[in-house]
Formats: sequence, structure tokens, C-alpha cells
Amino acid sequence: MSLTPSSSSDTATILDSTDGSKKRGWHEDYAAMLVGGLLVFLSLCITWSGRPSEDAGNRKAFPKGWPNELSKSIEKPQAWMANPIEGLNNAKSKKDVTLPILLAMGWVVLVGMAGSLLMGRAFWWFLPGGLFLAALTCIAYFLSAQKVIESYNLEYPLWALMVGLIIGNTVGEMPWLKPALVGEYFIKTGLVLFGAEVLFSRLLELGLPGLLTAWVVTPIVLISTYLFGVYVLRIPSRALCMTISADMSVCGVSAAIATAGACKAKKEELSLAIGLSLFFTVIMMVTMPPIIRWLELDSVVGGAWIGGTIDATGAVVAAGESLGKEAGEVAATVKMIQNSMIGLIAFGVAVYWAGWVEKSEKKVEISLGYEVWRRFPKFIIGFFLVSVLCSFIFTLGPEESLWVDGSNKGFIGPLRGWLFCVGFICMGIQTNFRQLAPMLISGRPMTMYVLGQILNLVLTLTVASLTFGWLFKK
Amino acid sequence: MSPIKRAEHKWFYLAFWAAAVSAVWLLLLPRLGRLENVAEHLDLMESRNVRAGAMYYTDLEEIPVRPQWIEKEIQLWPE
Repeated sequence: MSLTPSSSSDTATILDSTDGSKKRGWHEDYAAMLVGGLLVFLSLCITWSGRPSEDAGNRKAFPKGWPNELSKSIEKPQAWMANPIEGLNNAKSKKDVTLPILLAMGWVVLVGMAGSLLMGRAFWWFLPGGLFLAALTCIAYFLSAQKVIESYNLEYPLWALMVGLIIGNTVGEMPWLKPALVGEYFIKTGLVLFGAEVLFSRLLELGLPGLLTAWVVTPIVLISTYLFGVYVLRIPSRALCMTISADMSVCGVSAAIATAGACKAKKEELSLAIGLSLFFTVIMMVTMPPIIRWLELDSVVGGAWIGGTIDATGAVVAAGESLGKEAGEVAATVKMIQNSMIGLIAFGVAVYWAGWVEKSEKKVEISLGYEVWRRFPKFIIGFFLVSVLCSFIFTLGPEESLWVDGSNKGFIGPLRGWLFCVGFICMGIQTNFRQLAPMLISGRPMTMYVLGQILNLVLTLTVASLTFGWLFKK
Repeated sequence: MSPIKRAEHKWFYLAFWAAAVSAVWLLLLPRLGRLENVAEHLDLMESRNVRAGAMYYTDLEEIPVRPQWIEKEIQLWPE
């Protein structure tokens, strides 16, 4: 068995950057699976312990699911306009969120220290760098909470990358920061947590029309765009093609992160995919509602069109709501159904990559099953298992569905956000501006995105008109 | 260039970028928010309780609700 840190080995010998001694520890995939799995279990248990005695299955009484005590320990900066201090107060509930923000930073450090311990690193060396990263994460969240930025869906990964790039390309990786730069571990742990939010059961919420919109159009667009990028545009990196195709056809940044993990895309490839997605999301969010009004489309069909094509969930709701309440509801539900596909797509991509793409690139003649297993990104198994477990609990009944929602809304979702954010800070610090330039200059990724999105727009409008405008007309 | 000078330059660049980011977020963006079109968009989002920066549906203020006419057609947990 290989003793070098590679994604294929069960354990890895990691050269401790601080004292030079070799320590034996788990690979980050296993550490992410264990830590993520335990956090999901903890959240479900605490939500269950606080289950309401009355109306436990009434969604109107509990629109955010059952109350979760852990929600008091995690929050992110609230929307602000001119003074960032406004972000420390929740304007609606009039609650001060300073302490939950500080505790959330504590969760980041705690998760990082647990990972360092499992990966065989001297975890106390993680502390100074970990605290610094948590502070940078908080800054990135504050930048994304500015009202203009937030209302145009310029999500936190963009600002986390920017903050990281500024640090990495000015003062660089300081020696005391290096032990804490475990960005892949943070993102993989975030993805395992994310599994709890990817509920297959939600696919049924809109019945046949929803299934047709999400399950027919999305895979067609995903596969066609990927093949177009690889064989027609001849983009050298297949992982970049897959990451861009997934973020464009499924649901933006979250799909890009999950798929990039499954196909082992490089940091700069994921950064580029996210940048493209957010850029076009803003354009589509602003232009689609007037186009729908100009075409005089039915609001339900328009909502479904928006839900199936705009990448990011927040932008979908914003664009849908500007057409009307019902269009907003349909748009959000169609997007929610598409969101639920991430689990299957990430798993499918991981199998395809481990079994075919990497095999054809390296021409290794060993048993296919062993090769697939050796190359398979193991954290995807954790992501998938957590997703299956939470989807199963969700299907048991209305009470259980509110149990899962309460766990996700109260703790898992916010913590996943903090872990992704700190992961992107690490990625930014370790990325050189110069590595991004050649990909941007070639223009081929953007061509691929634009042509793929045009196909997505045409197909989604056709299917949405057929299903919501005819087959399942209101 | 001596190592000390190089280190000083690094911190100067960091300070420059920090100042640039602060200027954009504290001066430019609030002014942009006061433009008529942008202000209208912000008001609409606020009045509809929409968190447009949500990455995933669980990041929204509330879990999306299906339109009522669909609720009648498709029962998720039939009694």
C-alpha cells in the first residue's frame, strides 16, 4: 500500500510540517466521512430530543422544521447596507448574532482540529492558523452579506476565494498558517454534511411534471455539454468540462463543489466554474423575468423555466418572485427537485471517473473493480450514505420530514456553509493568479457554458410548456 | 531586493488590497444600493422575504412550499 498522501490510499503518512516527524493517520476522505457522519448524527439526535409535543407533523406550525437547540450555536452575518456592524443584528428577530457567529468560528476550528488529529497531524499546531482562517471566513461572510451583493446572488464562495487569493498572492502561506491549510478536508466534510440536505424524496414534490423537468432535461444537458467541451471544443481538462457542465445544468455552486470532488478537479478549475456560474446567474436573474413577460408566458410555465435554468437557488427564487407569488413557488420547487439530483450525479460521476476516465488516461492493466475502488473518492460514499439515510427518514411521514428539515435548517446547513467558506479561503490562499489566466484567456470554457446554457434554455422551456402548460395545466 | 524589503512590500500590497475592498464595500456598494433600479430590486426582495444569496434550498428563509393546486393533486403522505 502506498504510504504517500494520495486519494487512493486507505491511510497516509503525512510529513508533519512543524517538527518534521512522520505520523501515521487517516486519509482526509475517511476523516471527512467520520467527522461529517458524527455531526449529522449529533444534529439528528439533538433535534429529536427537542421534538414538539403538539402538532409535530404540521408544516405550517413549523415551517423551518422542528426546533434545533444547536441552531443557537451557529449563525452567519446578517444583511447590511453601509455599516458591517448592522450584520451583527438580525433585523427581523431583533436578535444579536455576535455570540452565534463566534461559536460558528469555534465549530470551524473544532472540525479542523478533529480532522488534523485523525489525519495524524500535530493538531495543536492547527490552532493559530485555524483561528486565523475562521476570522477570514467571517470576513468573507460579511462581504457576501452586503445587501447589494446578496440581492444579486454573488455568493460567499466568490468572496472567500477573493479573500484567500489576496492573502495568498500578497503575504503568502505563512509558516504558522500551513498546518491549518486543509481546504480539501473542509470541503469534503462540508460535502458529507451536504448529503443530509440532498433528499431524493423531494423529487416527488411536483409529481410527473417536476420529474420530467429535472430528470429528462438535466442529464441531457449535462452529458451533451460535457461531450461538446471534450470532443468539439477540445478543452484539455475533462474535469473542468464536467464541473462546468454540472454547475450549469444542475444547481450552480453546490453542484460544482460536489462534482469537482467526484471528478477530482483542480482548485483553479473549480474556481473558474464557480466564477462562470455566478457571472451568468446574475445576468439570467435580471434578464429572464422581463423576457418571460415579453413572451407572455403563463406564470407557472415561466416559473418552471426559471427554476430549471438559472443555476443558483437564491437567484431562482428572486427571479421567480419578481414574476409573482405562484411563479416563485413553482420556480423554487423545480429548483429544489433539481437540487435533489446532486447526490446521484456526484455518485455517477465518481464511478464514471474512477472506472473509465482515469483508466483510459493511464492505461493500467489491473482488475477493473479494484481500480475503480482504488480511485473512487471515498468521501462520496459518506455523502451518498448520509443522503440515503436522511431521505429514508424524510419519507417515513410528515413528522419525520420536519425532523430532518429542523436538523438541516438549524445546524447542518449553516455548518456546511462555514466549512465550504473556510475551504474556499484555503483554496484561494493556495492558488496563484497566474494559474487561472491561461484558462480565462482561451475563452473555451465560457463558450462551452454559453452554448450549454442555450441548450438548457430551449429544452427546459419545451418540457416546461409541455408539462406545466399542457399535461399538468393548472 | 533584500528579504526585509520584500516582506515590507508584501504587507504593503496586502494593505492596498484591504483598502480597495473596504472602499468598494463601504463607499461604492452603498451608493449603488441607492440607485433607483437597484433600490427597487432590494425593496422587492425584502418585502417578499427572499434571501437571494442562498446557495441551496435549505439556505432560504423557509423551505419552499408547493403551490396549493399541486398540494391537492399530489399527496406526499396519503392517509
